[in-house]
Amino acid sequence: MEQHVDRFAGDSWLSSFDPRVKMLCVFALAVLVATLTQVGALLPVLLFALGLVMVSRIPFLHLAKGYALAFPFVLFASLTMLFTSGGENALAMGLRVSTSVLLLLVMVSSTPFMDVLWTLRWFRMPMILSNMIMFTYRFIFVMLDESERMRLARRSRGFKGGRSLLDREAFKVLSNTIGMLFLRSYRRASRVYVALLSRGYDGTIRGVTSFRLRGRDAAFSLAFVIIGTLTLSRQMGWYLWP
Amino acid sequence: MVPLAVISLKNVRFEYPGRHLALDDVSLEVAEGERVALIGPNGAGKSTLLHLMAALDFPQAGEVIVAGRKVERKGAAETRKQVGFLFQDPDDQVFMPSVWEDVAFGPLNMGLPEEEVRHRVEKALEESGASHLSKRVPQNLSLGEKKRVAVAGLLSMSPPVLLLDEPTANLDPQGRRDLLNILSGLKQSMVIATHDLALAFELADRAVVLNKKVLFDGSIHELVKMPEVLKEANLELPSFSRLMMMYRQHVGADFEPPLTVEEAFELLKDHRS
Repeated sequence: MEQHVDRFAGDSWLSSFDPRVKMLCVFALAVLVATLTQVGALLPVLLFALGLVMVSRIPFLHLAKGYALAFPFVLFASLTMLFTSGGENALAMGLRVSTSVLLLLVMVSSTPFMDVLWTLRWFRMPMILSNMIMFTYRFIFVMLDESERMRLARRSRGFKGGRSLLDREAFKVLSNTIGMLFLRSYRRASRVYVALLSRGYDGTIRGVTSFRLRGRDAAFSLAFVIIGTLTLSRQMGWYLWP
Repeated sequence: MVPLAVISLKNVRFEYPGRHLALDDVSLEVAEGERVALIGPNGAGKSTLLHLMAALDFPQAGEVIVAGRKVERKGAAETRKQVGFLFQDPDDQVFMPSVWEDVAFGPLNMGLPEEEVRHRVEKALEESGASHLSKRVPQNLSLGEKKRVAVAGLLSMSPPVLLLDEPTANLDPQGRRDLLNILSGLKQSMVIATHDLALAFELADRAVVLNKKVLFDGSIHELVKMPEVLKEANLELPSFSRLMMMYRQHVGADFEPPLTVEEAFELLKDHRS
């Protein structure tokens, strides 16, 4: 199976929404979540995020893997709160970060990578930044392949790694390898730049993606507005429900 | 009528920084529709010459004219629209996150309208046998597939000249054959830099043997009769040609060295009968 970030984007129910609306709603809700301090206010948003996971049809395992990457940070933040501000604040911290991570994971997994970039561009992200993100995504795998080949070459000639981090010989070999990897990456970047020029690159990456707002996008936004309002009212003590 | 030259180089000299001489007094012309194999050993200056033709480097002496326009830093972007450059490593060339977007990259930079871009992309993908790859991600393609996508990226720009740098390097035999079939069906003028003589014999009408200078410029048939030129350029005839030369010597026959396996087979058949 192909391992790339777009592998679930096409199948997801959420992929049919305008990515600009999705991004705006998710970011706005994530910002709101970051300001919440009460567990009672955070729980409805977490349930909403889990609801999005359910309807998105993105495999749970995929999202769980993404969440696992963020979990050490969640744990660290929560433990810090536990020892400084008590159990409820620790729980609130865990819920805050987890909900935000979940919302962002759902958005990124249900939106094709290039659509995310075009959306960022639409929101006036500087061209150089979006180009760098795009090239990093494309070439990180090429660089990983190269480092893997170098690792195999090291092993094929008897290098077994150091006994510890203080092993000077091993450290020297690894430093040389990293230096060589940077050199190769630099050469690759030069060749890629020449290839870009040969096909008319002038500093701008162009695309044919065009976004169109539809009724369903309004409904999607409304769902976020409702959950945002309910959460905020709970946090502020304007009880709309018991 | 003499065909129009689409590329013309006059007394070109090029040195890399550090006074490393890459090309010295190189002159040659490529006519419209002509297919020229640029043959030479590693470090002969083949890739450098292609870079000069594509306005990616500029000579220190002499001049390069592409499609009637002198290659200079100013206006290089216009010259680049006239040539399609196939790089040796497709990972350098296929840089967009999806195949479709990569093939559309050139036409979009040419400022073509969206409908025209879509049409060109579909056509180029079809011509290069890569339609089924359009939604794929480049990092998951095989080398042969990446080469096809790279060719599609060139064809979508419809350049009158194609510059191919070691097009079959590292391909497996089937991938090499597939690429040869695609390239041999194209109508554009081509300059093919290679040290694979079998590829040159199959694709090109004319050979230019290069080793910093032009050692030979003539038809492929003339080249194979000049072993001293091949030796000077560290080249060797393909195994089937050498076999037929040994056979010719053994039986005392008189025929020209075959350029393809099919030609060698026909010669053997004729000779037996």
